[in-house]
Amino acid sequence: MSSDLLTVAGRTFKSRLIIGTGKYKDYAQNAAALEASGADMVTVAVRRVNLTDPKQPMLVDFIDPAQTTYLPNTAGCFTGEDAVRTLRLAREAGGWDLVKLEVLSDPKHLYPDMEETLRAAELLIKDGFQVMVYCSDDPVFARKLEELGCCAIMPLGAPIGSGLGIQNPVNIRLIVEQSKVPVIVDAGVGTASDATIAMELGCDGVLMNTAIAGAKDPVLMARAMKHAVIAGREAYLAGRMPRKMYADPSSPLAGLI
Amino acid sequence: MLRKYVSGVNRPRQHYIARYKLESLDVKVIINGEEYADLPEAITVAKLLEHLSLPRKKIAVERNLEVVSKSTFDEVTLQDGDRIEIIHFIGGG
Repeated sequence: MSSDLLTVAGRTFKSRLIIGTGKYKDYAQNAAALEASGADMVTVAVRRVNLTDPKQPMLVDFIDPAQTTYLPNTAGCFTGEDAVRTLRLAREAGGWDLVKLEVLSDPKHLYPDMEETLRAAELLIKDGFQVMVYCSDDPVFARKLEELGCCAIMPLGAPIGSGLGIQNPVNIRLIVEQSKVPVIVDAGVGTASDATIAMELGCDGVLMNTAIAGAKDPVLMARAMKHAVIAGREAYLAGRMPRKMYADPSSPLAGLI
Repeated sequence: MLRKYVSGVNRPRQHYIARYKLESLDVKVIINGEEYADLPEAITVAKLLEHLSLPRKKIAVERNLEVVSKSTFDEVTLQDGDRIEIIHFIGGG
């Protein structure tokens, strides 16, 4: 399985698990969870530096961008222009053009604004970015995003931070089947089995934040997620047995005493 | 708006400048939404970061909505009324 790598926009990653860096107790716990998860890509946010206390710990001091790929997000952006502005700064800060686009709408469900997401994706791609895009689990929009040139389609499994699991496996499966670029479930995973289900559906990866950061023991949950993603991937590749309506004994009936 | 003084800049000298020179010689800029007055004239982005004790490797700077390339930090000087944003990466999902 060592050769089963995730490839996004020509870059390869050992792990199919991508983790967020928000909501941890501190950056040290975040770094420990990252190590336990085996992930080699993390999402990060772009924000103003604290000018009154420049000595505050910085994420880059705990998670080395030379070792772990930073995937800057556009959280908090509501228009395409905001997203371009934010990610241009991210590109200058870190030199990365692989980015996560998310244009949200209502804070109650944090569902993506798909019209604006499409517009923003187009602007970013024109500006030279490789866009991994958070989107609804609608196969029609997913196809439009792929046609625009997005390098990964990242449909939600359930609302961000809800931990409700994969709510619409039928749609996720449809998106997986039609897509030529990687499909990564982004948001909604609550526990290990949810990540496994996403991978069993044929997704190329899973992106999660709160499922790990919000666990009682985030480092242990990070390790559980590592195993869950590998288990789901291997089960998908192995090809599951067909579902049957009735029992089929595992022990032969012939030769009974 | 709060008047902020940048650490490392000689405050008494600032007052001297304010008293004896035309006020328009003071450079006032908005940094991350807050007004900074009495910055030395012709201060470069590199000098500004030094005054703010910010490591240039870990941040990015935007000036009037345009990204300032790191390679030009030593050349770009702040102009009165500039709107500056200084960003870095923090935890996020």
